[in-house]
Amino acid sequence: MLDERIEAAVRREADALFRLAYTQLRSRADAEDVVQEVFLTYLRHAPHFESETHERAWLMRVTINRCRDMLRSAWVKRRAEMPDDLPDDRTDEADELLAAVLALPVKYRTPIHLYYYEGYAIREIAELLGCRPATVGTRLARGRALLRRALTEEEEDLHEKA
Amino acid sequence: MKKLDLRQYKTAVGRITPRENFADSIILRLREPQKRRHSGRIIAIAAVMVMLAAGSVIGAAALEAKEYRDAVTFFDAYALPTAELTRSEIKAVYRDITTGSFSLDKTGEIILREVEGTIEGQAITPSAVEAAWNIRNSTGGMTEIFAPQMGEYRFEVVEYMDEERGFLMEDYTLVRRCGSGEQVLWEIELDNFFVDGYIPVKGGILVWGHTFTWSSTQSRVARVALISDDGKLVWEKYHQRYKNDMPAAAVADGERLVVFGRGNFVDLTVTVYDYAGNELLYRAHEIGNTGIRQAVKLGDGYLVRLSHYQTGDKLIKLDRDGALLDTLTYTADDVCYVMTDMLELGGQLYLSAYAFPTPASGDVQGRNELAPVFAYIFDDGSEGSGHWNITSAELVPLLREQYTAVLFVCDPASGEPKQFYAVDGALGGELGMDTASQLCWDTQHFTDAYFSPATSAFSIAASCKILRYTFAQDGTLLGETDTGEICGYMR
Repeated sequence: MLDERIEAAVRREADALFRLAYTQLRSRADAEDVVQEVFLTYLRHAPHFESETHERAWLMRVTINRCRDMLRSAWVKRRAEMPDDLPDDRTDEADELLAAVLALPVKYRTPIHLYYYEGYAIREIAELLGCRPATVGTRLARGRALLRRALTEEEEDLHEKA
Repeated sequence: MKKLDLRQYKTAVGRITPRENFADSIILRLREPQKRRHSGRIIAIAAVMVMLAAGSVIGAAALEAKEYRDAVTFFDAYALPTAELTRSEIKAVYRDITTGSFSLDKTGEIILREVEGTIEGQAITPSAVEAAWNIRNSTGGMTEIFAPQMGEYRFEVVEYMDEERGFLMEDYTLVRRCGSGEQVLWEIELDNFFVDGYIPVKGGILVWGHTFTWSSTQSRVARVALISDDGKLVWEKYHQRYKNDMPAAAVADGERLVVFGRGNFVDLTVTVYDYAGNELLYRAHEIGNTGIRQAVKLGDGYLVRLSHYQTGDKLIKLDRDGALLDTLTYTADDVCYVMTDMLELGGQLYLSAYAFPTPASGDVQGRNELAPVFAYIFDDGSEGSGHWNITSAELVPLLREQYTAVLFVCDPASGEPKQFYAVDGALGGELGMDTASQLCWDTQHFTDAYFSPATSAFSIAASCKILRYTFAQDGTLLGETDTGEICGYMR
């Protein structure tokens, strides 16, 4: 039997970890592989956690590290320039925003995802990413500025075409 | 402009879902290794029962087990390999990294193996291992590439991994102000700003430099910023009047901040700002491909030290509005001077320099400073042997014979030398002020030297001890002290 604690963690966190991995890797297949790897690591070593929050933070950090390793090897392989499964039929502003976020460099994507989707505080994100809170704050600000610019340019392009 | 509403990001991400039954598929996959793990757990339980019998061992064993568990969790979190490590090695490496020691060979072995660019056989120092650890774990490629700096203000270039190019790119410079005891008082990020220098100004510091480049074909945009004493960015400037627009020195002059720069390696530029960041004045003068080493106030205007490896040093006098007034060169028929520092103190202008005999031909700096020394070493006269195996004991006197450290005391208005001090056998070094506002002049004295014809960076290298001369405010020499510091010399 699989440890109940691990099974519960898979059911509780798999989707969130998948979304985190997807926003970094921009590929469903890679994101699913990473999440499975993360839980295999969890199973192999069964670390003890004081709380679900602690466990979640650990899983997030391992996911980020696995994604980072994959990104480092991915550039050598150099697959397609564009994400392989971005929604082409953007139906609303939320999809446009998601596409814009996914087009950002990973150093901005990750804190934006952790802040706006996961709801982590800047200090917590800094701990997860192993950097200073000031760096997280700056990356959030720059990420927002890049998003604003990207969305405005897109809007202008649409007007020109119209 | 479209309004940025990041709440919608949550909605959009919420729509991204993994394939159906994703969690179930993971659980199925996890069940296989679970069977193998089961027998391991029985053994572990048996082992624990044996330890229970040991009574007093329990506490220590529990602690050891907890540390091991923590260590393995740490290894997993940072994707470090455990395959070739013993249990005690895993704990030792965990302690070594988490305490910031980085002194174990095993830690270095693990970390350096995983960092690209590590050269096998190089000395593994704790600082090298720590730097490699920071590179390896940088999220988005953040790394600090400069060696630790001393002093109140520190500047570190932070890089990131550019996914498109696949290599590290400079991102921003982290400026830190440190107090005594090395605590960081504040830090601020300067985006796309390679800092070339800074000066303390009223209420903060003025920093200058240029944008990051990684190719000589890219243009450099001038960057200037005023940072307040509490670490706030008061203002920052981007200027590109030339393809390469590079500030090189600055002077705080009352309510004016005067920045001197090079434009396209041709012009000397003078830009004056006020403390609110308004540009009050801009001028440019063609001076040729000459380096700008330093600038100081001179009377109502400024003195800028220019340097060129062929023509030597020049001092340019500018008025308060940046107009060229005069060019000063400190020359003699048979002696060349190389300026090394300038300082205005107590209404006097001081110039530190070193002098050497004018070479018969060629450039006036670099290896030509040592023309007679090389003539001696390369001498292949009738015997045809030269002195290629010259020892330090022979070489040091030759170097001493070649140089004289000189301190010029100049008229603050005209820049003309009124008086000078000379120290035979030495090089003039930095000028400074001690706590009693007395002038300190550092001179560099050769202690060891060696000749290395096959080294690309130098032909003769030496170490020099630094002796400091202190002067009273009226210019009287007070005395000489050995600072105990050593500096390098290469030509």
